[in-house]
Formats: sequence, structure tokens, C-alpha cells
Amino acid sequence: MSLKAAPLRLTAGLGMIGLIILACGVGPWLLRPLPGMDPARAALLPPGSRVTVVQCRNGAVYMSPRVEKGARAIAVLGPGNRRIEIETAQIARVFPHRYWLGSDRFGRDLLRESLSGGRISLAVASLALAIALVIGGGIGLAAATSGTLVDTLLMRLVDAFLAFPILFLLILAVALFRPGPSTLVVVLGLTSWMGLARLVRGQVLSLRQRDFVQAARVAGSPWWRIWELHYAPNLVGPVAQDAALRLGDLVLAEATLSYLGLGIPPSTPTWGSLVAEGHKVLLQGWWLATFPGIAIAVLVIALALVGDGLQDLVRSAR
Amino acid sequence: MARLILRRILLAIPLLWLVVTLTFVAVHAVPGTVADLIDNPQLSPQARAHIEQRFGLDRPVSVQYVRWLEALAHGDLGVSFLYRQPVSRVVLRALPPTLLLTGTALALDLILGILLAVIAVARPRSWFDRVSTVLSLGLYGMPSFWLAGLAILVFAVILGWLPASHMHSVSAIGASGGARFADLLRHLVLPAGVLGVVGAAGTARYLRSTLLDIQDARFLLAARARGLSRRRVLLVHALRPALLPLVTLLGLAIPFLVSGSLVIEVIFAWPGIGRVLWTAAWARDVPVILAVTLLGATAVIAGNLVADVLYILVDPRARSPR
Repeated sequence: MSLKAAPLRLTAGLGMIGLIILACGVGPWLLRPLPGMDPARAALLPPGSRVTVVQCRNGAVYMSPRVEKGARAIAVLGPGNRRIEIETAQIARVFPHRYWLGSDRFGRDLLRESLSGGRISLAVASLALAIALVIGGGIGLAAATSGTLVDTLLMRLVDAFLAFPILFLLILAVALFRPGPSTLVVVLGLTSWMGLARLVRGQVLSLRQRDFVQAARVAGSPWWRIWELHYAPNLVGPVAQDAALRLGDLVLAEATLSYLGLGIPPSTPTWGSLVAEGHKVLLQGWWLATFPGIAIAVLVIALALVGDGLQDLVRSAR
Repeated sequence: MARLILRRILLAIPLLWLVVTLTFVAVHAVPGTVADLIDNPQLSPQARAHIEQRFGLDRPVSVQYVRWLEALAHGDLGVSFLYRQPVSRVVLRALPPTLLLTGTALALDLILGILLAVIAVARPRSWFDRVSTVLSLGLYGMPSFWLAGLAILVFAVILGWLPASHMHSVSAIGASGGARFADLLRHLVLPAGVLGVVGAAGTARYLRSTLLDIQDARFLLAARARGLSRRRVLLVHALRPALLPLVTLLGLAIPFLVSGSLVIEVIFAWPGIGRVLWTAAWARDVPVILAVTLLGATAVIAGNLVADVLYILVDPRARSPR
């Protein structure tokens, strides 16, 4: 439908992605990391909770209901819920903090964790996509431009990779090798290039039959000119559309693996592992699994919108 | 047709060999064996050697590989290190639960997906179209593990209507056949529902865009010009060609049917193939890992073949070479 709707979907999707990248890029840097909070008091605070953090010179951190200016000492709740008084001279820093998305089991701010987790999720998925684009594009081009033998061999290779049960392979690879961002990038990249290879090969083969390419060849254009003028511009649309949807799949795959504990070690939060952490305390803190999950969904939906929009653009260009 | 099938089956054999060999190499490329997982500092070198000897792990990898292939040629998948049972028994025991789960999910996926797409396309830009588009886009983006957690929270914990995990209740073990079946169905609802709904979102999105794509096709214009009702044009003339790609998707669903959804099986503690692989991967249970990979690869190849054959059977245009 709708040539009119295409730009709207595209801009909406791109806008959402831009906002996510901006938030994840700048957010963790703007939100100060909280000093080590006392989990007994700061854990599992619901979204929107306000606390006043009192940091002492000896490194202890307390939370105070209220701090009165000019007072000589302030009352805070110490271990075991006892009221203790701290003299002003001992206080290094007092600052209010608001847990917009609530806090986790260790009193960490879920908003900050989610934003820095998004960085990793985005980085892993994009790097894996880059690997897939290079391998898939390269093999697709090679197959389309070589003789029948090389073409057949390469396409059989694609078949073999497609015959691997992908999730099994991912789990095997990550279970067997050391889990970590680089393992994840390589494994995800190596298992998601096949569709691109088929797409690029098919596009090149069908473009070759088109009149404008035939005409350019008859007119004696050098091959690089034909590539520059005819193949490349016609490949960009379908590849970009495929890449957008594939990036969404990669985000989901990374999240799934991290959820299963196979992705990034839990010390570095990603959206998947945050949901997994949240599921451990599903009853005490519903927000912990909910918000990172929404973040994944919003990113994947944005990518789907971009993919749909690009598809409409490609279609209307024909 | 028969030649095509035969050719593809013959091609499948080297492909399967390649897949299992690569898996074999991958499993053995990592240092350590099942004996490392017996995390006991008092495990003497002798006992360790005994374990490795018992599982044939003391032999060079090449010998293990040849032995494994030889046994496989005789239809023997070996003995699981973990369960101390023939691998075939372990895998066959896990297959029915997976088939039940994924079969139900697939049926739900198709019914719901086709229904959502058809009703949406029947009245473009109506509120139902909008709701169904937004809903299918939203569900498409949701990670299934997240949706599973949400479903458990709402239906099992807060409302308490359905069990959150496993296939049977302990209380149902001694019950009568009917009660046991009802118990099984109650356990099936959440995992199959989550899988099916997530799948339906994708199906609906796909089918809706295909249906809209062919709206301007000449054969539909002709059908409308003949004075056929809108409903008939949509349900008979438009839906049939639009369902063709779904036939391919159905063939590709075979690997899904067999391998199941590992994440859903792990979350709902469903005793299927996915969980078997999951446990085997952590326990370094090599024979089981290899067998499940082999099963998965066979399913992918068979699924591709079935998809192509079905396509030829359903679409007359694919029969004659262009």
C-alpha cells in the first residue's frame, strides 16, 4: 500500500533508532554511577522512587529520608534499621537520586543499567551485521560473477550453513568457547550471512538480464562503470531492507543468548541478561524484567519499520 | 519429480556428513572432557583415566571420529555420558513432548496469523486493521523469553489459572487417563501459547504484505470485474496465491517442529529436544550433542525438500520450467 506511508514509517523507525542510540550513547555518561549502595535499603525500589544518598568520608553510603540544611548532624537509617546520626563534618557528599525505572537487587539504577546494556546490545548486533554483510555480500558477488562451477560450490556452501540448526550452533559455540562479546559477535556474524549471499547473488543475476544493463554493455561501458551506475544503486535498497530486518533478528538473538547466560558475562549488563536477572525476582520487582524487555521490543519494532519503509521505497522505485 | 527427490536425498548425505563433522571438530577443539565436570579435587588420576577410558576419550580424536562414524553407519548413535543410556533412547524420549509443543504452537500460529491478516486486509484502514497491524508489529518485536516471563507472571502467579512449568503435575501421576490428559493440556497452554502468538505475529505481517502486494494484480481486477463479491475475491482469488509462500514456510517449519524452541523449553522446563541439547552442551555429553545436531540438520534438509515438493504440487506455475 501507500507510497505515502513509506516515508512516514521510515522516518518513524529511523527516529526511534536515533533516539535509542542517543540515549544509550549519552545516557550512562550523564547519569552518575551511584556509590555502592546498601542493598538492604536500596534494593528493589519501585520505579520513580526518590532517595537521598549520603556518602561519608570513610566511604560508607547511607540513604536518608531528608537532609536539613544547616543542621549539625543528620539522621540516617543504618544497618539493622537503626537510626544513626552522622555529623556534618564526616559527610563527603549528599545528593538526591531518583530511580526512574526502579532499582535492582543490589540497589543499582535500572535506567542506567539498561542504557549501558543497550550500548552492548547495539554494538554486538551491529558488528555481527557488519561481518554478515561482508561475508554474505562477498560470497553473493563472487557466486554471481564467477563461472558455473564456483557458483555451484559457493551456493552448496550456503546450503550447508543453512542446514546447521542455527540456535543449536550458537548455543554449542558459546557453551564450548569462552563466552564474551567477541565470541558472540563472531558466532552471530558467521551464522547470519547466508540470506544476504542469496539475496545479492539473485539481485545481480536478475539485474544482468535487465535492459538498462544489457544496453550499457552493448554500448561498451567498462565493467566498473556498469557496477557504479547500475548494479550498486539497485543493490543498495534490497540489501538495506534485508539488513534492517536482520539487525532486528540479531538483537533478538543476542538478547536470547544473554538471557540464557551464554552471551556476555553477567557482570556486564545487556538487555537480555537484565531480563534474566529480572526473572529471578519477578515477584518482588516486576519492573526489572519489564523495562529491558520493552527496550528490546522497541528497537526491533523500529528496525522492522525501517525495513518495511525501505521495502515500500524499493517497490515504488520500480 | 522422483528424480528431483532422489537427487536431493543423495545431495543431503555429504551435507549431513559435513555438518556432523564440523560439529565433531568444534566439540573436540575445546580442551577438556566430561571428566573435568566431575568437580571433585579428590578425583585421582587413576579414576579420571578410568572415566575417560570408559567413554573412549583416551583414544586420539581421529580414532574417536572414525569409530563414531562407523557406529553411525550401523545406525548406532552411541551411549550418552550423562544418562548412561543409548543416545537414541534419550532423543526419542524427548521427541514426543517437543512435537506436541511445537505442533500446537504451529497450528495456533497459522490459524491466528491467517485470520489476523485476512480480517485486516478485508477492511483496510479500519480500526481492526490498525489494531491488528500494531499488535502483530508489537508481538513481532517482543523477545519470546520476555513474553514467557510475562505470561508466567500474569497467568500462573497473579491469576493462578495455569501451571508455570513442566508437563505433568505430581498430583496427576496416579490419576485416570482423562484427568492426566486435562492436566497435560493445562501445562501446554502457556508454552504453546507464547510460541504460537509470537509466530502468528510474523505470519500475519508477512501474509498481510503479500495480500496487499497482489491487490492490484490483473487476475483480481478480472475477478472483481466479473462481479464476484469482495469476500469471494479476497478469500478465494487473493488468498490462494498469497498462501503459496506460506507453503514454503510450512516446509521450513519442520526443523522448528523437531528442534523446538530451546528457550521456551528451558523456561517452562518442558522435557523436549531443546532441553536435552541444553543439558548436553553444558555436560559435554558429546554423543548427545552430535545426535541432536544430526537430527536438526536432517530436519532442515528434509524441510527444504518438503517445501520445494509442496510448492511444485501446489503451484502449477512451478511445474513447467520457464
